[in-house]
Amino acid sequence: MQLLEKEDIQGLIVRGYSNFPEASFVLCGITNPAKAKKYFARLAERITPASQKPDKRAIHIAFSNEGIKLLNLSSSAYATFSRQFKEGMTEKNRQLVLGDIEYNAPEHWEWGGTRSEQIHFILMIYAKDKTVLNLVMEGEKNNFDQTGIKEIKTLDSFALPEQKEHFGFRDGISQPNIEELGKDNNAPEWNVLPSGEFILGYKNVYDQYPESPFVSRNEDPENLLPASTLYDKKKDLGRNGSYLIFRQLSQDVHAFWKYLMENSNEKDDPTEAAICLGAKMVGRWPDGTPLIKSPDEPNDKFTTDNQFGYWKEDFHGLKCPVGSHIRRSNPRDWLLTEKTHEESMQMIRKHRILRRGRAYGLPMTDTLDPEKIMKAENDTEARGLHFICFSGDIIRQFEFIQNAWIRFPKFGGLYDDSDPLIGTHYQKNGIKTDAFTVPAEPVRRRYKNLPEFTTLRGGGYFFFPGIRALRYLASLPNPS
Amino acid sequence: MTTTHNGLAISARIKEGHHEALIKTLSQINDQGAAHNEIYSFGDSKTTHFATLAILPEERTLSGKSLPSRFLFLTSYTGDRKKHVRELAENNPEGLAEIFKHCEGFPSTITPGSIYRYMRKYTTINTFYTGFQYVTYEDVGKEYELREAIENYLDEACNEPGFKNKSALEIRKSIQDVVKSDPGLSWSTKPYKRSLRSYLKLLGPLYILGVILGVSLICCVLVFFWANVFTWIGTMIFLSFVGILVVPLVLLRINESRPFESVAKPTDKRIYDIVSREKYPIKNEMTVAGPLKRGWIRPVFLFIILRLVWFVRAFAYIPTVHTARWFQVDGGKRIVFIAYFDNTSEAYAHDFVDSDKRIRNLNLIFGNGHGFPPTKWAVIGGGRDREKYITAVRAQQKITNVWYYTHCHVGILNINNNRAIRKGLWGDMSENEARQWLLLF
Repeated sequence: MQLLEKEDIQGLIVRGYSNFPEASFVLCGITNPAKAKKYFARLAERITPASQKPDKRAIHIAFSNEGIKLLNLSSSAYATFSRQFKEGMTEKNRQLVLGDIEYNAPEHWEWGGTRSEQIHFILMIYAKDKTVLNLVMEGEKNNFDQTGIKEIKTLDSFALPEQKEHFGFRDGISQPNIEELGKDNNAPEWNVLPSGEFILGYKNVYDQYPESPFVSRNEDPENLLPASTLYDKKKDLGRNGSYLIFRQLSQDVHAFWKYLMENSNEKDDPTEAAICLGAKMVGRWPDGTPLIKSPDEPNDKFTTDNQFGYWKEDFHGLKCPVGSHIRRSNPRDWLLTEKTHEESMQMIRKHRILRRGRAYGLPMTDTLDPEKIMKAENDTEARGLHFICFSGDIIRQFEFIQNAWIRFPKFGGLYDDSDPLIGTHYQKNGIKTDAFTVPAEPVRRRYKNLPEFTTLRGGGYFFFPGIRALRYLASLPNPS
Repeated sequence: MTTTHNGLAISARIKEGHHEALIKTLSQINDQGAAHNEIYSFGDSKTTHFATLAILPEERTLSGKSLPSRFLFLTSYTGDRKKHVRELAENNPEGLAEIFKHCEGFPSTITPGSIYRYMRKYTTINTFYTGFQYVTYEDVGKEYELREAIENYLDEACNEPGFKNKSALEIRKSIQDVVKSDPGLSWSTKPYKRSLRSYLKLLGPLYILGVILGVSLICCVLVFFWANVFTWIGTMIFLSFVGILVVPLVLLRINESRPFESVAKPTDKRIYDIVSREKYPIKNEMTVAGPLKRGWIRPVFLFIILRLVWFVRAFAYIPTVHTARWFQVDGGKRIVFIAYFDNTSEAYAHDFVDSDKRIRNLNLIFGNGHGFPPTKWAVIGGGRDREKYITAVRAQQKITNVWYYTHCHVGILNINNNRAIRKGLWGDMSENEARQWLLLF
C-alpha cells in the first residue's frame, strides 16, 4: 500500500472538519505578486497539514489558473496543469459540459463568472467557533494590504443542525473511503478507492499515477519539490496536491417546498405528500434514511446508512427513483447502459469525488424540520451550499459526474429529466430537462416544469497544492 | 421492405490540388446545416439516420509509406443498400457532384445514374454496429410520438380517482383505447412484426457460417471413422478456419513483442478544437483514423477480425452508441472508426476503458492502431493503460467536416424503450407481463 506524506498534504483533503462548524472562504486577487509570494511563504507555515488533527482552527489555500500565472511559473510548467484547470470553469465548451447554461450561465454569476473580477486564490479558514474564526480572519486580512493581496469577496459558511442542508435533508453521508487512510473496515469494496483518485502523486484506480503538473529540475534550484513519478528529470509540483472544485449554489427553499406541496398528491396529508415527493427527489428521507432501506417512511436505524446498492435491490427505481439526486450523483452499482451490476460498479468507481461542501446563509427555520419550513414565510435571506470537492482528474471525475449523470436528461433511460435539485431545468429547441419521473406501480408519476431550485452564483477550478509546492510557488523569482 | 440498419462507407482519394476546395464546400454545408443547405441536404432523405463527411489528411505509415488525402462519405441507413444509394443520388445529383467532383474517378457526366454508379463503385466494406436494429428513420419519430401521447394520457389518468387501483391489464387496455381513438396514431394499432427478410439479412450469414463450421467440425471427427471425400472436405474447411485464426494470432504475438511506438500527445489546443465542436446536448459524433502499427500482419489480422466482428455484430453491445463502424482504407494500412453516441466523446471514450470486458473487445480492433497501448495475444493489456489509450484516441481523432443526425432529442435508450413500448402495446399479455410493460413509462 502507498504511504501518504500527510505532513505535506493540506488537511482538508483527508478531513472535512466536522468539529469546526464555522468557516470562511476568502476570494482574493493578487495586486502585487512579489509581495503576495512573501505572504504565501509565511502562510505555508500556518497551513494545517493532514498529519495534524487541529482542535481550534485550520487554514488552507488554493490557486486559480490566473493566480498560478501571476506567480511567474514558467509557461512550460504551467502547460502541465490539466486542460480543464487551465481553461477554467467558465470556458464556453465547459459550460455545455457542465450544464452551466441558461440561468446558470457564468455571465449571471456573482463571482468567478465571465463578468466578475478575476479570483487568483482562495483562502479557506475553518474554526471551532465564531470568535476563533474572526480572530484568524482578522489576522490574515490585516496582512492583505501590505502584501499585495485584495479581498474580493468573503463567503461565510457554517454547519447546519443535524448535518442538514437548507432544503431540510441530511447531507454528506456518502463519501468514498481513501484506501490508504484505512478508516472504515466496513466500507463496501465499491466505495474504497486509492488515494491517487484524489491526491496527485499516488496511484489511482487504474493503478497508474495521474497526470500531475511538473517543473524541470533546473526550475527548482532549492530542491523544494519531490521527483516526478511520471517523468524523468522533472520535479512534481502536483504531488500531495489536488484539484479543488468550488461551486456556490444558492437554494430556493421556499420554491422547493412550494412546488412539492402544489404538485404532490400521493398521500392524503399534503405535508406528508410533499415530504414524500421531496424524499423521492433526494433519494433519502429528511433524516437521512435511504429510500432503498425504507421506502415508505424514515427509520432511525438507517439515518447514516450507506451500505446499499441499486442493481439488485431496486433495478427499476420503484423505491429510489432513477432520477433522484443521490442515485444520479453516485449510481453505486447501477447503470442501465451496463449488463451487470459488476460492470456498473467497474464503471462508477472511475468517477467519484471527495466532497467537502458547506452550507451558507441562515436556515429558514432553526430546526430545518420540513414541516416547519413549509409553514415558514418566504424571506430574502441568501442561502445555499458551497459545493467543494477534490478530484485528481477534473474531466474524468467531477466533470463526468456533472455531465453524464447530473446534467444529461437521458441518464438511466430517462427522457426529459436532469437532476431535480441541482440540474439546470429548461426547455429549448426540443430539449427538455425539467421533468422528474417517479417510477411506481401500476404506473409512474411524472412531474413537469420543475423550477430552478438551485442557482449557480459562482465557481471555479483551483489547484490545491501540497505544502512543499506552496513553498515552491512562493519562492518563484519575480520578473526582472 | 427490410429494416436492417447498415452503414454505407464511400472512400475516394481527393484529386491533386482539390483539398482546399473540398474543405470549402464541406464548410459551407456545415455552416448552413447538414439537414438543409444550398449544396446537399441530408434532411431530404427518408432512409438516413446519420451521415458523416470527413477528409482524412495525408499521413505516413510508421515505415514511411504515404497515405493519401482521402474523402469519406458515410451514412447509416435502414433498408436496402441499393435503394438508399439511389435515394441519395436522385435527391440531388448536382449537390453530390459538387462534393464528389473533388475526388478521383468522378464521372464527367452528372446524372442520378452516373452518381449512383460512382457511389457504388467507391463503396468500401465496413463493419457496422448499431444500438437500434430494425428501426427506420420514420419509426424513431413516430414511436417517440406514440410514447409521448401515452405519457400525456398517463399524466392525466394518474389523477383520476381509482386509477391506481386498476390492474395492469386494465390500465394497458385503457392505453390501447386512447391509442385507437387517436387518428394520428392509427399506424400503431397493428401489432409490430419484424420481417423475416430483415432478420435473415442481419443474421443469415452468421447462421450459414455456423452451419458450415458445425458440419465441418462433425466431418473432422467423422474422418477418423469414415474417411471419404465429403468428410475430408469438411475437415479441410474446419482446419482452414482454425488456421485463419491461429496462424495470424501467433504472427501477431510475434509482432507484439516489438518496442511500443508512442504517438505524439496532442496539444491542448488540438483537443479543444475537437471537443469544442461537440455542442449538441444529446448526441455527438467522433471520427478516429490513423495508420496501423508496424508490420504486415497488422492489416491482415485487422481484416480478419473486422470480418468476424461483422458476422457477430448483432450480438455486440457498446453502451450509449447509436451506431459505430470500423473499416480499413489505403490497402488496409489505415483504420477508420466513426461513431455517433449519446452525450460527449469524453464520456463515450470511458465506456471502453472503464469495463474489463470491453477493454478486451477494444484491444482486438484498436490494438492494431498506431499509438494504442501494446497488447498481448491481441486482447490482454492494451486499453488497460488508460492514459495511453486516451492519448491515442485524441491524437488520432480527426475534425469531422460535416455530420448529420436525425431526431436531436432522442437518446439511444429512448429509441429502444419506445420500440419496446410499441411492441408491447398489442397482443396477449399476462398481468405480470403488463406490469413489466408499464414500467417502460
